[in-house]
Amino acid sequence: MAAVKETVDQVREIDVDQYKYGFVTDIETDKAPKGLNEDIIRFISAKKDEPQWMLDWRLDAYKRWQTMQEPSWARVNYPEIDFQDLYYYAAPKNTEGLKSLDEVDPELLRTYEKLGIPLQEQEILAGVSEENRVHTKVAVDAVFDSVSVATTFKEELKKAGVIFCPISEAVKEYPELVQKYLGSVVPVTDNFYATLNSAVFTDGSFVYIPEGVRCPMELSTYFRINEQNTGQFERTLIIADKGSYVSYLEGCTAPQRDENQLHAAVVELVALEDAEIKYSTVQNWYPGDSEGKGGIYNFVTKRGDCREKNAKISWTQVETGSAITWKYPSCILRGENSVGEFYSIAISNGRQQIDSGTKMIHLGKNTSSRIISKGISAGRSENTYRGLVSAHKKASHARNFTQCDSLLIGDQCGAHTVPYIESKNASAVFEHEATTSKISDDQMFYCRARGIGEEEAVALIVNGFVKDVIQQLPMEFAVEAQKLINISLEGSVG
Amino acid sequence: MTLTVVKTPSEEALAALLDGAQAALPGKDFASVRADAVEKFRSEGLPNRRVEEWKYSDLKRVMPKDLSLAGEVSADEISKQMAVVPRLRGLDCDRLVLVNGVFRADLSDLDALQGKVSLTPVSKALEEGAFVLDELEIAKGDRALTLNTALLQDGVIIDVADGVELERPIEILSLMIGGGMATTRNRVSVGKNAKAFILETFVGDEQAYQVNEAIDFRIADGASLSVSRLLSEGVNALHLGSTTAILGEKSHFEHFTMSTGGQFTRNTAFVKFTGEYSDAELFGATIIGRNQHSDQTLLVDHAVPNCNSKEQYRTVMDDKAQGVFQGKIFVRQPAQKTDGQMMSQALLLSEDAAFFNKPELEIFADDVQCAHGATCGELDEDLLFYLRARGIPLDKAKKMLVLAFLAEAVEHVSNDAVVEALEGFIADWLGLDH
Repeated sequence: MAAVKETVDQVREIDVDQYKYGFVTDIETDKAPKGLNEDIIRFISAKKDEPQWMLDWRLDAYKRWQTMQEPSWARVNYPEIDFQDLYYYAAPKNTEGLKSLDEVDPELLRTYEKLGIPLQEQEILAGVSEENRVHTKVAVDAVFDSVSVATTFKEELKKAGVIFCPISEAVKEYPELVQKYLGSVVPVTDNFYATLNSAVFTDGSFVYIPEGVRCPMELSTYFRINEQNTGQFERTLIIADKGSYVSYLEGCTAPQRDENQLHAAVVELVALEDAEIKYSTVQNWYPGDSEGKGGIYNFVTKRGDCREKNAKISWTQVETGSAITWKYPSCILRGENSVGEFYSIAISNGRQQIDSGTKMIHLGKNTSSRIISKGISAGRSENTYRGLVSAHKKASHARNFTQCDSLLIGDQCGAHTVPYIESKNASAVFEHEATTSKISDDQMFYCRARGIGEEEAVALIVNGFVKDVIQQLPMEFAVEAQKLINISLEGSVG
Repeated sequence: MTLTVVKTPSEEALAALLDGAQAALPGKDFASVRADAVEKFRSEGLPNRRVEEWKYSDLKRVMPKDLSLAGEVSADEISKQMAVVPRLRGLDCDRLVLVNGVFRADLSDLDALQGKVSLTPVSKALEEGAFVLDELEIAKGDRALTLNTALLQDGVIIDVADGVELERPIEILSLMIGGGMATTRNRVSVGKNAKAFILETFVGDEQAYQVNEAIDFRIADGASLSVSRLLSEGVNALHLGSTTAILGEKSHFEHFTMSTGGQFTRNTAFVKFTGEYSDAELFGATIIGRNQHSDQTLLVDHAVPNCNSKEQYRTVMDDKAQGVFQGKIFVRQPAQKTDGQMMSQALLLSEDAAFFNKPELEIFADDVQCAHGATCGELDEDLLFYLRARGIPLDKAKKMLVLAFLAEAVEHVSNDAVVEALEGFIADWLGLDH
């Protein structure tokens, strides 16, 4: 009942402007010249003070990228992107060589405060734990445009042996780990955007959980695009060593601008024997205005590799933002008995276009996967679920269950389902079911007859529709996600 | 400048065949339509796995290098083959026969059909300039249909007049003998409030041959059409089939496909609703073994409100066989109150078999009920145990379960005699007594 009340309050609170995070932070930045060429890559690499091998890796990726073509198979339409008309590096000035949070530009700290992301460690200890007694601490890595500005709780994590730092730092501090795992899940040449990312990635998080360690707190990265005409290319690499566990959260916002901005990230997860990684995303990039002007192009490659036996990777995502989303968090189930999960809520309103889903690639014996996808389309948006479930010859007794449901609100939107189910092993058992419908008159009547207003009734039914996925989110995100869902659908009824 | 992509030996062979055949094909008025299709083929080449619709059925890879048009055959040879090819037997129906892509009036039951329906060979319509391609929007650009147009030889046009109810099924039997390529296009128009049952049979000898056939169903308001299609081609055959159907108001269309034969079979159905309150039911049963490849692709276009479509396909694969199901329910914005249900189920009997399933929904209307389901797995151990515990040997128990699995799709056929014949056909294929 609490969730319902929350929803109702939230709906009431909403003003005309739906996107709360559309402000711009006025902060001096250090930018690379516009455009992309080898010199820009050398510039980025030099800025990050990278070793030669990293630069070579980038240049190699750039060479490959020049030979590649932008993919066109997704159900999304957008004008051609001029890759030479973007800034590939933008950093708030004075971020280099900071010793503590006190040295961070106060303007920057205020930005994160406005976004509701406390970077001050003491604040978290005092504020959050009082308000929400269920959970205590979350370590945050805040990425502003191209650089990571602050990572909290580093010391405490270090005691547990956990490495949580910006990837640019990891390249220098832990080159052997980075070299061993970077590009091992998403190869440099994987796809157009992943290759571009490999050439120009600027920052992101690096996580290593040592053998047998259960990460003592939730890890979180908060991405913010601020600068105009910039692309954000972050790279995240998470390695869970034998028998370890980590839960990682990711959040994103961007200012309201009339131009489209590009976000092309790569996330790689590696789970070794008996390890488990839980990766949750609440994606709330600026979706553009109601006429489809502006907004983020979110072209992301996310993949997890259950490399050894009994590994488990679980993706949970709430997608409400971005003008265009092109994203397929996947699991390679290589180790025996490994498990992959994908829980998704994708909400599109206005003129948003979403083409998202997952890939579950069963390579090992007794691997199992589960896909729950809930798509909600409203306004004039297009929402596509595109997913692959495949069992290779050796994947005996692989098991998959897929459920993808779509809800249509309004008669100008579209909901599409494109599943690919490929079985090359007789003992693999795959089940897939999908439905598309609108909120039924009966459900509405039931609510209305009990004195619930139209908008509240919709919120109530939608909350019920997405409940299966919300339940999978960590507490911190569940509340936020629920609010976000209501905001996203505001104005779509009646 | 024309972009030429034709490059593999089989594409070159096919291009040469297309060019060489043009002059001898019937119909002067149709020549420019053919020429456009040939040009289109030259610019596209054969479909391969890089073409989304052909992702799992790579025609470029399987098209042979040695291509020629199928030749003429003697009456003796025809009757010899008719006696041995696997097909539905003992059915009471009126038969129209095409041999190597040519309509054979001499072998068809024309007298029996006299007065009931109007019949015209496609070659005659082409010569008279009366044959017009009437392509569905959703079928436009289909690669198999392009080739069909480029090489169209013959076929039959059946018109069932308004209000006529045919008692006996009409069978259109296509027989291939001696190898080579044949291209046909049939057309069945069912008038207002008329009723008909069409049986399509495709059979042939063991030579390597290629069939590209299309059939257009035009179902007028209030009409009802049932179609059962049996693909029982020879072991070395390559079969490309395209069905298009346009449904008028308050009409009913039932379409069943049984696919067992051929080396490589691709079967596409395009169905479009143009009038409200109509129903389409599409069912299929496929059973393949060896290294056979069978592809069932369908696209149902809900363009108007208040129509129902139901699809149910079952596929069984043994040995190294590969099965493909691609289905799409497409609901346009005006098509409110659409009910679309699609189900594809597959059974893998061997470690080396593979199944590719792609059931799609593409929906632009909000007040709809659409669902699809897909399953894939092996025979249920519990069911096998149940039968074996009753003294039935493993092999026979498996066959019984396979028959039962497919029979669920077969039983949707509205003609009992055809259901019985189809079940008998499957039992024969399995080597099961019945």
